[in-house]
Amino acid sequence: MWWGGRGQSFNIAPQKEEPEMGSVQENRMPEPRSRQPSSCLASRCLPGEQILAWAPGVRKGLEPELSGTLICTNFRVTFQPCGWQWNQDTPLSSEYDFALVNIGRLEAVSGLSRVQLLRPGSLLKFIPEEILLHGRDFRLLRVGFEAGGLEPQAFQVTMAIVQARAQSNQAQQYSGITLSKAGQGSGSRKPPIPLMETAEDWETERKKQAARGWRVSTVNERFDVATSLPRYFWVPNRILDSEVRRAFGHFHQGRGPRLSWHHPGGSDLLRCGGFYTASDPNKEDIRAVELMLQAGHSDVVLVDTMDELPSLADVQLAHLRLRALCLPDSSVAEDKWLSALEGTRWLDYVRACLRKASDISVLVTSRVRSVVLQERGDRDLNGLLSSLVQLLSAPEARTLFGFQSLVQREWVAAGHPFLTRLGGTGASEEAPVFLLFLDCVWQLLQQFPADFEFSEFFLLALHDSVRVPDTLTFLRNTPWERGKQSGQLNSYTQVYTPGYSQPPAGNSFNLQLSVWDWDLRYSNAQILQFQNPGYDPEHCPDSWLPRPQPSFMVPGPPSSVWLFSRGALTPLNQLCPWRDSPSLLAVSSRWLPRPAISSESLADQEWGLPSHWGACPLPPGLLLPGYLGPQIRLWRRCYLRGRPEVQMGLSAPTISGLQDELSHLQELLRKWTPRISPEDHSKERDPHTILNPTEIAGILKGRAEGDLG
Amino acid sequence: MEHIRTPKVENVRLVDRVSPKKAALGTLYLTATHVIFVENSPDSRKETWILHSQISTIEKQATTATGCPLLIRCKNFQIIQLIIPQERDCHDVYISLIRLARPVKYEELYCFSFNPMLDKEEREQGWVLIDLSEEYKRMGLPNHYWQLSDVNRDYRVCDSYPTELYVPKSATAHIIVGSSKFRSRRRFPVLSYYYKDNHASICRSSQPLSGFSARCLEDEQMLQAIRKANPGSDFVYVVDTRPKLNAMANRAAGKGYENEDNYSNIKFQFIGIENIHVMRNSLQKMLEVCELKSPSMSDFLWGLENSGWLRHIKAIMDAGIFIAKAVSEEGASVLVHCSDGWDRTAQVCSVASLLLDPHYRTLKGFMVLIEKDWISFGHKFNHRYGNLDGDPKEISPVIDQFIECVWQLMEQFPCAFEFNERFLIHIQHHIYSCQFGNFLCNSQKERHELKIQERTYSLWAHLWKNRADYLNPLFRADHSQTQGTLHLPTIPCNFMYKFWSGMYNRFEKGMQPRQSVTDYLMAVKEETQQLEEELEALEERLEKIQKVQLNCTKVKSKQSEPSKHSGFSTSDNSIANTPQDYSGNMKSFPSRSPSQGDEDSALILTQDNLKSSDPDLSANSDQESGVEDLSCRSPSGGEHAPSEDSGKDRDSDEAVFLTA
Repeated sequence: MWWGGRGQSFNIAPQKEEPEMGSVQENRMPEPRSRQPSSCLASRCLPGEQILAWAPGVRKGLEPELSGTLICTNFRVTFQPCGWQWNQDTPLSSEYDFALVNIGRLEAVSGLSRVQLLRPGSLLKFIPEEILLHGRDFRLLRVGFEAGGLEPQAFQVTMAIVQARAQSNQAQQYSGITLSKAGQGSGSRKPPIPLMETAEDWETERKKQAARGWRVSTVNERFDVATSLPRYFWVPNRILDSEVRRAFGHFHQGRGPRLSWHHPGGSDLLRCGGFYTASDPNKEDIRAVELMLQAGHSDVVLVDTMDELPSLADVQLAHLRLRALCLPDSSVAEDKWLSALEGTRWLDYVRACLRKASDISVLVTSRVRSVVLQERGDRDLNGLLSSLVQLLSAPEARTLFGFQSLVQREWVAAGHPFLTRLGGTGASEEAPVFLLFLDCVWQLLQQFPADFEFSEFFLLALHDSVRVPDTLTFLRNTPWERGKQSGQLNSYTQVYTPGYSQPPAGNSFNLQLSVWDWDLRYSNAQILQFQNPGYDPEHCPDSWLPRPQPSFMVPGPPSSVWLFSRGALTPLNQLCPWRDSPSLLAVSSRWLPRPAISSESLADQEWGLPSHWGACPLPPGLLLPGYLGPQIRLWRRCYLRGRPEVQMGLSAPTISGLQDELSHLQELLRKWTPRISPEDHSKERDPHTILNPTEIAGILKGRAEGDLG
Repeated sequence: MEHIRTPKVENVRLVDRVSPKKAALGTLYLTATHVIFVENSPDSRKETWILHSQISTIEKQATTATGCPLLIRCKNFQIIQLIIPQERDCHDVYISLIRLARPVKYEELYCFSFNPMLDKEEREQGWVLIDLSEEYKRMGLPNHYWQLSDVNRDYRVCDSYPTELYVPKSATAHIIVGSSKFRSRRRFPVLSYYYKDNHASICRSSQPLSGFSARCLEDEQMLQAIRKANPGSDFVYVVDTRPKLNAMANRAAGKGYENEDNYSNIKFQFIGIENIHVMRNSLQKMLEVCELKSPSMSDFLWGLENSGWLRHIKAIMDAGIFIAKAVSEEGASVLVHCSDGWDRTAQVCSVASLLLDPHYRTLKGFMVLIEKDWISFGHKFNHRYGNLDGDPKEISPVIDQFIECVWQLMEQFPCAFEFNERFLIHIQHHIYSCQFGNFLCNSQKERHELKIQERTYSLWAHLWKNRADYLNPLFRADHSQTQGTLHLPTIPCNFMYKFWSGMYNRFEKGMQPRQSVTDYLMAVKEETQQLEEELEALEERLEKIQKVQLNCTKVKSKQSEPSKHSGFSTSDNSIANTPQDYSGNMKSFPSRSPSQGDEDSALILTQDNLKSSDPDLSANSDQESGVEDLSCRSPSGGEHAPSEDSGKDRDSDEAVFLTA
């Protein structure tokens, strides 16, 4: 990636070449033969970034080999090919950057047999001829060092990486790139994805969903209800903020029931944390909690989110095993690959998530009701299921914009602890739930290639962005921490304080960039590939079943309350656990076989059809994914990236040829268009057709590269 | 007809395999060629057709309260479960089908009654579409080293070989006959593929009758001749595709493999591809996995692994890769054999040819390849695919494996093949369907005696006629990847080979992705082509307009000559495909079925295209949409009514003209 690739538009730390070189020299770096690499890099550093060591090297493993420079900073290890211009849009940009936290394994190789696995703190025993960086994101970087007097540098850069990794729990230091409003690039900046940090964003989204019975609550504006909750969220109209505050106190970590999504058919999807069983709510509080869960519906379903889904530890273990399996030197015998893949359990977890999401979308769609996702922490699987359900039931969520907004709302703003889950803090609760979610989305993309506006490349880009230290989106655990860093809280108090290192110039203020600012790391050509060429939103006729909106508030207590668990609905006597029964969540027993009654899917019970059946009279807009064994596939393009031989066919280089051909055609058409005099009636319709080849070019390219895998 | 005990049973239920509680009520018909189930539900009247020759097994299960279940497994991997109310009816159907599915005479096969309404001339043309002598010419034969031998005229030397065979020029009839006596079933070494670029060749034969110590001078001379026919190399590879243990066991029976000490300048190599019995069991195991009602992740992955199917596919691919490398990189000729040289040898030779020669990756080239390596060299279609009632131990999915190898290659080289997955699936279907005469019998001799070409139709002509459906939209003939040899890594990575859901689960509609990428691309490509045509036509017209403008200024006040004007309107016909035209086309594409043409009733399995908007890669077809296809596919071909469009265009031209 090229930091500051857009010239002055980024508020990049001023050139501190002198002190940095000083620090490099402190590391006993020999006088570089040329100051070129480091001085060049220094100007591209992130705020707070320092170069620790560098050495000339050759990127190996892929054709053609590239010579360049391997650089280790206190944030990342990066390889810069020679003669590569910073300001040029090059597809190499996002290829060779490894955030220190992303390095899963580091190996030094000398000769044919000497291999040393370098753990943080270990000492390199020889001068490496080659080092291998295995990314936790399944990428592999192989860099060979040239002989001829530069061996000390090779040694140093390797040791620098080892040391930097040892002290790499520095994610908190990343402050992210900010965009100066006064900068050049601001004018061309596209309207970003709503970050859901302002009340306006929430209100706009609420209106978009036509959630009429709901309002934006400002009760958490100062993060004093819960730091893990966003500053704003949706609660039923009728509930006062004071009631919200009291009610939320009875939930785990203060995460009470909030609206996730309002189904146009009338149902509401809510999410909340577990009931805080130790609390002793009074009658009014219980009433408020019940009203919020009921959300004005007479039919309420509590979904035990953790039931039948893997635990955080399960997810982490599966991911570790998957990574081990996909290493190029994985020792799995050739004919044991499939059972080894099964042994990781990863695909089985993907399958479990899809099945549950499918069931919940049936619950939401088949009847007008309130469906409450309840997970003890409300920060992991609730987000995963809530997002999947929306992807399955709401065509808007399947657009590029919609999907990014969804992730921003259900994951980032909802307080998924990204930093901890992705191993950024070194804490024990690492579990790549978000990556599990991306795999689920990829499966949907495989099963419904015409229903999604975004492509596999987009998912890959998102997958690779989770540990990149350029924006704060995924580098904080809570909206509170994120807000603290980005200076957003200041705006609340109407006091402006300067950003990280740059004194404010005039009346400009710094705009924090988010992961959705893709042009930070991806070239325009790459961003073009985010579009799924097969997307055909018209392929299913208009999205929504026209169902009468029921009157919102149903007076009185709900007439039916259910617990959805192990694929079946069980009647419940009451919504809250406090009056006489123990906590509902204590009842749930995970990983038990489903009762016989639910061996058929919920869709089957509701509509009398199997959910994985093809064309069936489903409510329009609803996708029901298949989750039988053969339907779940391995995301090869992501997980087998370290093994280039497998990638053959996944990216068909000839498609670019096809694209060239098409753009040539398009060029011809364009060349030809201005020649038409405006009064030529017979040709007036042509501007319309001009659009097509453009689309087709994109289509063919992305499609062939994306989906033939 | 005498075998049909009950031609019609009412109130039969067709069970939905995925949710067994649901079943469609309908009527079952038995005809001389098909089992047909017609649903009662008045709006759909969905029909399911099964060709008798596709039936693999019929299983009568224990009678239940609802009736007597009958399970029919098909060779194209379809599974049908029927519940017949009366036990007695069920028994009748069962007995009838047992007999109908196992014909004893060739004349009972469908191809002898199938009539696609073609006249004699068309039928004959169909049979000459694929011409092997043309193919050898394309390879550059005969030449200085290789000649056509007439030694097998009237099948005198080997009755499972064709009459036209290419052998090294230096191999005399004496050597050939001598060598043939030293080879199983007299299948002596002959040319399968000649690599023009470096004179290396792939030859094929059966195993030598060497036992523990026997020698044959002529056979040694034959190999010598093959080596000499390739001046670029001083040795010949001899590839025995069997596992070494199997080959050694054959020695005890007086067969075996070449002794490197006896043959000068050969390099001998075993490649362990298992025999037909192992393959049959492996497929059986894999199909059991496919048959599971709701397979979990571990059911599927363990089942697939334990079946060993992908391991066998890899073994065949590895053999092909080895040979292709030897020929293209080392420039060495290769003699391939297994036991009889008609199963593994056919697989391996055709995979190697496919890797080496881009021609075989085209539609026609692929037909030629099957015609050459499989049909002409006496692959025992009748025995392997059980067309006539015979020894079940002879049945084995040999060509299925080859077809899957091609698919695996297509997955890895998406732009290298002119044809698509559907082409492979339809070929597989027709190998079992016996609807066309191509795959009948066990050898050319038998087909000749049966006068196949006079009495049946050729599949190749049928496929060629519908080739628009079989084109791979990603095929790029001019790309470096698709030219010359396809390079595959031989390093062990089993995960390169994938489960072919499109083949083995093709009747499980729910298992397939809901939208077909191929169909979408085809439509886009079609549209592009039309755009291109339109562009061309418009440019042409523009030129004319400019010319007219020029004339106009020349002639000044004078009106244009009528002759010029009429010239306009005729040229306008080519522009008649307006954007509206092809947007109409785009709309019609999802309903396109694999156009099996209207006559192809064998592929009509379920007529549910009316209900589903999914483009369907499986072999479902329906007659109406097939017809519709033909009409909507060629709007640019000029058969469309030009009057309206050209009239309109002429008007606008006039307008242009006047303003000019």
